[in-house]
Amino acid sequence: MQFIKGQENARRQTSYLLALFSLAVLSIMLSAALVLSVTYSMFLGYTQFSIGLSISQFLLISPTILVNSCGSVLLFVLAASCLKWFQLRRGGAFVAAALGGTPVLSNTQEPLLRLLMNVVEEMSLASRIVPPRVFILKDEAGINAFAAGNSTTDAVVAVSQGALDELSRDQLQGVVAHEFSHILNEDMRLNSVLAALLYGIECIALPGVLLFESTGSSCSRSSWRNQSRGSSIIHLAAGCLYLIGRLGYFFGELMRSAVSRQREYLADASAVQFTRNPDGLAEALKIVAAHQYCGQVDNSNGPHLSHLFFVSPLAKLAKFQATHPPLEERIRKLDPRWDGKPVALKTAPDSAPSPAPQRMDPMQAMGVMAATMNTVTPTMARHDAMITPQVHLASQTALRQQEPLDAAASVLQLLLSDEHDEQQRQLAVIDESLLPGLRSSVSRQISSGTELPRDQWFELIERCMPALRQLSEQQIKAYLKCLLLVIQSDQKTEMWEWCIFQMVKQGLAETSKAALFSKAHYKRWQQLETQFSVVLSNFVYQGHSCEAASKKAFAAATDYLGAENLRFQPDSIDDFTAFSAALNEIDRGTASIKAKLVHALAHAAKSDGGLVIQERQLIDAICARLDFPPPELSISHTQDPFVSNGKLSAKGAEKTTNPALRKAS
Amino acid sequence: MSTALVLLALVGAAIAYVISIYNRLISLRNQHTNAFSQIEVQLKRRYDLIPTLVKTAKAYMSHEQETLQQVIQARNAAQQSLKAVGAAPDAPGGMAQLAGAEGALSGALGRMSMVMEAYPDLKANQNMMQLSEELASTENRVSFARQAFNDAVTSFNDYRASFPPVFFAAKFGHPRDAELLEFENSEQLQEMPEVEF
Repeated sequence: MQFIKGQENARRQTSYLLALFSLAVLSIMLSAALVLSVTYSMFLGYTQFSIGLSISQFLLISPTILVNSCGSVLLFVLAASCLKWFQLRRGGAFVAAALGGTPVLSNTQEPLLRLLMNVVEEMSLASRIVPPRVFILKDEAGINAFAAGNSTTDAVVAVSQGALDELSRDQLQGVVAHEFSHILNEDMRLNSVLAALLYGIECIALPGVLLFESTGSSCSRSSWRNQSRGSSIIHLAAGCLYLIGRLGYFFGELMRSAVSRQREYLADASAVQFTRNPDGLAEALKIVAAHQYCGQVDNSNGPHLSHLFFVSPLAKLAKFQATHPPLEERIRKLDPRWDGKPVALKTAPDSAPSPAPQRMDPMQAMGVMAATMNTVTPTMARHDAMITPQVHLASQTALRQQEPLDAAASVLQLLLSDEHDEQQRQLAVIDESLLPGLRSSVSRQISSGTELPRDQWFELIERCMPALRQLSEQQIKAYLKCLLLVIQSDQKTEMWEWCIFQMVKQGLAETSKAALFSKAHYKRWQQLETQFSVVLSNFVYQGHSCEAASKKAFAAATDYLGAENLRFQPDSIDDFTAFSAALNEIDRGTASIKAKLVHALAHAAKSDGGLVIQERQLIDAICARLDFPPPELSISHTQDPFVSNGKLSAKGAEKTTNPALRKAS
Repeated sequence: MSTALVLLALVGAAIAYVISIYNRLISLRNQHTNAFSQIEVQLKRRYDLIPTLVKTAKAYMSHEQETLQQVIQARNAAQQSLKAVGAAPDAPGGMAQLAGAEGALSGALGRMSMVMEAYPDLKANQNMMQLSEELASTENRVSFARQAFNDAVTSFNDYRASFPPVFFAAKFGHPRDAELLEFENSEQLQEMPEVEF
């Protein structure tokens, strides 16, 4: 197969170039070390020898001096390289932000962005690496894309708005596959290493730069002659080092560009391997060649990061300096029969050059789309209403969950009371929160909103999470505080409120290293008997109307645990300080203790033949609190969307006469 | 004495080699079962999309109940065989059955998209446009996941049939080659990989 040959070829070329590069670096360092040792030996004996360089002086360098100067040059270059490396190794998200990228939310509903996310996920399946974060360069009308990041875990892929607008699905797939290949082959890391080494080489010229800059300003030409012999030696040596550093850097850059060009060929060949569709990528390259902006990138950071991009963002450079092979050659490698004719574009290039595409909000975009397609018929509204509520709801609320504040408001709305007075008090609390604009967003949603059935609450929270995570640390703190105050505005906390709060809080919590490596405090669950009984008592109370049924469920759990001495504790019910404290303690236990608790809960829930939504949600929230994967349990209705028709909590409704749950049904 | 030591070393090396064969067989088998679960995820995603698709279409295509019914039936059948294969991935013939059911589903979807040509309102419906993009993407994902799965199966089969693992494979619980997942009518699939509008 052709792409395999192409990959092998590019890999082989890269290793030749890398061998050449390391040879060059070594010889540069060696010559710098030679200059250093000659200077040093001249200093040692400069009274006896003339300044003029002679063969004898080379021979007089003692091996110790040579070894020492080699060592110091090596240390110096490595130190400088490490310095640069730490600057360069910043994660992909940093680079994307520097180039003006905006993160694309994984649940976006804007058609073009949705397409981009889908293509990225397809490629991550084909290349078998975790999907990277996706960014869009909204202000770039040129067709370009880049990948950044030092490892597959912190990699990002970014695509320009121009590429989204101009390329078809297959072409975009080719471009994204090309970027994935850069991630998979760790080209960004290779480039950073080479750049860091080159910086170290460039620093060899540093003594020269410093010396000539300082003497150039303070000494006049006449004083040069009066300088002592020693300082002339230093000047001479610095001059040599300057020359070596500069020349070395120049040739090193050329080699780095050559490596970069080979990696581009490799990425093209790998893209074909992932998509098995050479035409997509070839067409994309042809469109770039025909486009009025080509791959131009306006961001000021573009030029010095040019090696990252899909096609060179710069105007044409001399062939041996360019980081990318010429477009024509890349196209011919993919499509040998190309006649060199430019292809037709989606948007005609001779139309008035439009400024960078304006960002439209999703609603507006849809409106425009519908209008251009001439399909806004009066019957459409009727049809939409006929679609089942679930579908309708999904499309209606989906739009709201992309802006962080709207997502925050959607979750808050779940907590608002039905009673007017109470709701006013809660709204006043939201008013006082440190998040400007939250109140207005909430009011907007109240006026437009419909009440969400309980079984969709957690789904809503989950869908809001990507947007909520965009809030800053302070904003998250303020938001969580606001949630707590809203919950407590009626002086009492209920279980469903606790569940929502836990889901949001745990969803927003960063998994800290401390949590990952902390040692489990408890090894056996028997050490936590009281805590288990508190959690279980609260749990069985939620799902059952009378005390007898609760006790029966409790007994089922104790049967599972094999502990007769566990007592039902009615006084701990709805006491959230005790409940939270118990969970805090259990959180300090081992994973198997947590598993025990979760299984005991599942047994208690299933003891009366079915799991109701309240129990399911409480288990989910407890699992979130303990940072433990929730068990696979199906609610009394099946998960299959075909069979269920939204009649979920019929069973739940008759079962829950508990006042705390009335709001739900 | 020294000959005994040499013999002991040889026997030890042979045992270590057999153990390495065993471990490699296990790891290759796990790789392809894992790759299958990737396909499973994507097929499930497709089965979940179809009901929404049919619901949306129903509002417009009230006269085409039969076509829609066929899609639903094909979808349910495919879901059943996926469940069966997922429960016992090594069972013979399972993959072929799944491939058949998948082919039938693709055929039904293709017919539905042809019928849909007569309903321009439906084609332009925002929901429908989103759904068709999702469906197209899922089709792609299925094929990429299948590509990965077949690669994994091939490397397992190659290793199993190579010398000397071929002597041990059956004794270590790998009596058969793993089955490739090839859609019978893959030409037909190529023609209509998505709901075309």
